[in-house]
Amino acid sequence: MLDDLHHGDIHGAFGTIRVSDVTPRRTWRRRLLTLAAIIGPGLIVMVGDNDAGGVATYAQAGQDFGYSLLWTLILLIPVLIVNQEMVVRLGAVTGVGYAKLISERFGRFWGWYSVAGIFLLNFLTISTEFMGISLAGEYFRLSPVLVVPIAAALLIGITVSGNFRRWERAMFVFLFASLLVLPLAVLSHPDPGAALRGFLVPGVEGGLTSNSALLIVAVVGTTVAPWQLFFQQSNVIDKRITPRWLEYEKADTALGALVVVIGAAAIMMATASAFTGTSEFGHYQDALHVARGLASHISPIAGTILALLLFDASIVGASAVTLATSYAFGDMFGVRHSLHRGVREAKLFYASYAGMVALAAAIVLIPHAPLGLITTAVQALAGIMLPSATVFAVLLCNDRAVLGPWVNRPWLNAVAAVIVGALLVLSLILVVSTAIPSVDVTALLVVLGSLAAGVVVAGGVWSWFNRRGAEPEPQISREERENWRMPALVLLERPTWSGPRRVAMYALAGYLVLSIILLAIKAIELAMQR
Amino acid sequence: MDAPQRRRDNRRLMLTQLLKSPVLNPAGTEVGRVEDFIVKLTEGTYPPVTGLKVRVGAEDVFVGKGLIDSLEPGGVRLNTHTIRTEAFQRRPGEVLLAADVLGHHLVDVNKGRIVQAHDLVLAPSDDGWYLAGIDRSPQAMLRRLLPRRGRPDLRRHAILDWKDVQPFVGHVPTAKLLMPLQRLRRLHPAQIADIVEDASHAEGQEIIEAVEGDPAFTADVFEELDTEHQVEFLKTKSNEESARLLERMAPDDAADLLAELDQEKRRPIFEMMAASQQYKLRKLLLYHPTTAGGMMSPDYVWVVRDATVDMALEAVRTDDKSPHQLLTTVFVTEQDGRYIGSIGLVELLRTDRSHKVHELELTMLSVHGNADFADVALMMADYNLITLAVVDAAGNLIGAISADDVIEALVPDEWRNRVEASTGV
Repeated sequence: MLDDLHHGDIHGAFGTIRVSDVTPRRTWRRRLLTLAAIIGPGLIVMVGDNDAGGVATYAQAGQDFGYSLLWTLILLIPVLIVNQEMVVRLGAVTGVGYAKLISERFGRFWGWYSVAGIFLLNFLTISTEFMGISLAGEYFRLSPVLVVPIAAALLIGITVSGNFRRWERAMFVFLFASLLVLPLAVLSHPDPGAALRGFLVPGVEGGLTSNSALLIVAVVGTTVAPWQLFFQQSNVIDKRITPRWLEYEKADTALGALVVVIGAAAIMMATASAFTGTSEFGHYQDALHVARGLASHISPIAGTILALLLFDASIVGASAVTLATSYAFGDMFGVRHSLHRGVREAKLFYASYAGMVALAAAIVLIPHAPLGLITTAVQALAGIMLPSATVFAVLLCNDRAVLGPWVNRPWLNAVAAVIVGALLVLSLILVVSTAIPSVDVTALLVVLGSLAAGVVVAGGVWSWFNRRGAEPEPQISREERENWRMPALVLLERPTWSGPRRVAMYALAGYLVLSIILLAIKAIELAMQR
Repeated sequence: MDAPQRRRDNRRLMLTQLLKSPVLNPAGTEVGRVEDFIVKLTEGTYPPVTGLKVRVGAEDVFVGKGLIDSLEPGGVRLNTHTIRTEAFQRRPGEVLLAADVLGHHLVDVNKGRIVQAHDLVLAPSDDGWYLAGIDRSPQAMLRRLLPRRGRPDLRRHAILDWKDVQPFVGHVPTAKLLMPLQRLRRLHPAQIADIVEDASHAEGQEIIEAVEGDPAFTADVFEELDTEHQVEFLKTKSNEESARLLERMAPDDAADLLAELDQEKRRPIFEMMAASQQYKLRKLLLYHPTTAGGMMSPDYVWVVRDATVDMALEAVRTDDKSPHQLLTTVFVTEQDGRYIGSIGLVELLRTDRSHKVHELELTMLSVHGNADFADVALMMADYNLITLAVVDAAGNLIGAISADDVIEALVPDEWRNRVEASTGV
């Protein structure tokens, strides 16, 4: 709910912007200072993405396919920026959290639909972060029973301070620690020619197979995750970023997207360089073995760096994902939720956060827990839920009542449609190949890809014709546009959906439910086999 | 303090000194142990002790006050050998001190805060003992934990007179007494709101029910409550009741609260409100809550340009809707509602009453409804304004903001923490 603490001075990790400080930034020095104060939500949400699962997946891509999957990372930059820019805009202009906005505009059913999966997925994701922590601990010969509770306490400690700036500064400490990827990349002496080819030429070493296709899906799924939408919208509001500072926050987001891809590429290149030509190439086991491999093939320092990176990534990921869940929880239950509030003032918000961390940590400590299954489930669920989470962002960003002059431009809608189409294809491939392992993934990709392309083009033509018939947008001055915020009246009731939109949405929902059931059956099957 | 007063004071007893102590018959043999004290809650006076709940063997027995010979620390002496062994029963209007009051929350109606009764003070009068007050000091709680002989005697400090406190009796099955509104009226609505926020849900509900007798007062309390508690207590009301309550609240507070309700209830409640209130709310709802349009009051004093100073003053005199802070300024518009300027009450008082207002030196400043908080605060600070007009895109006057709204939002959180720390709340 919109809190009186949701407007006021911006207390960033690297600066403060007073509420009264509205003078235009005319010099570069001033602009950089402003950016320093604003920077945060975008970087954190992006770097939180290179979490334990991320590090493991990039390492796997490098170990199994060398430099040949680097191009996927380049393609992810626009996906990340487009997705996150939409929620940044929504957050700043409406001041209402993503989950709350969905249930206000589309009804409680869709609100719950969008958060129920997120709650499950996020919880499992946090478990995987603790697995990362325990693997990193194992590298240093530390028992999980020791490392995991300490990490849990650390996570709760940095959030429960009731001070936004303290939280953000703590996150930045971990963000800077993640810059360890740079020395890792340098130490591993990657082959520049092969790396450049990997970045520019789409293709897979050994041809497109079921395994490589699934890994591509996993790379996308771990880099572009649904929780990011929930997190950044609420975090932008929590940081009190208003449309006045929107450009800076967009810069923050773009910078974050760049950082995440550089980090991912560094890990991929390091593992590719370390394992190419060794007997372990193509035989990925887990992040711990990758670290040991780096230690033996490059230098002990490289192994240590990777283990540290894994630990660091797990902490950042766990903190951001847990916070995203708590934000969504607060949105759905009308609980006060803000990092500006102390524990006493927002008991439920912090209790949900601490409870989730503790439970996820406990699962990892259970002996013989099916951790591998959880990791696979996380990647699969993320892949499945991505398209529908993005669809809501696109719908909200076209809602003139919500965003007024800030709605998506046609070209942005076109890009978003392509992205949603691509994500849908990837998620379908994942679902089908998980349910029927014998399916020919390459053929599936071609069929689904051309089908999706056809639908996107047809939709584009249809909306272009529609647009020509529609009345032109009301012209408003630049100043009015800058000042436009969502009126409170919008939330008084919700608009009704047109027939086709309703059909499409229920189809999407049905697909999601069906694929989750399919995956659940598959998971039970796997568990029985063990 | 005179001598008899001191003697009487010295005879005061703390409830914890008496609980569990032996009940003796005139011969000095123990017949049972004190389990509880029974008082009758009466309005306006100290509640008299009507009897004791005494444990005899395995049974709780009622001992009327007529049978008590003396109460002393560590012992109760009866004036009879025979006590009727009828089982104890709660009777209407009666409250058990140990079970219902000791350790429970009470409202300090003098200071407007919640206190906990760590101990209760009993005092003697000509016709028996009565409940004189409570001890809210944490030391009293400590004393309860210590063995009885080691308890320090702290009878004199931190005692709150019973007249200054109001117990919650919702949990007492036989209390039959609502919390009297009269006593709560001594507090400011903001203080009552603070109490409700600090109290448990049941206690808060009791206070809300108590103030409900006065709808205007209830609305004042609701305005001061934080959102979470507003929603919590509005949930128990019907749409009709909610609409009546929202009507009486200041429009900006009502608009904020409306937005926090379940979406299915918003429109029905909104439509049940009086038309004039709906119109005002709609003006506010056209803007984001953090912008000038969302902050403004749709009620303000205004006159058209041809009005005289006398008419402007009369408008201030007769206005009964605007918040008091806005009565310091009269806004001037064209016939069609377009904003011209504003003038302070002091300037009006110092001017010839027959002058036309548009001939005076008006402040022409205004902000657009979409202006954000920073614009509002800056304009008021730069031009030393205590009120600021808000206009729509066509330049029509739609509302006004007063300096107190801006100050409230500008106070950094840390300042509030400092105040809390220094008062020990």
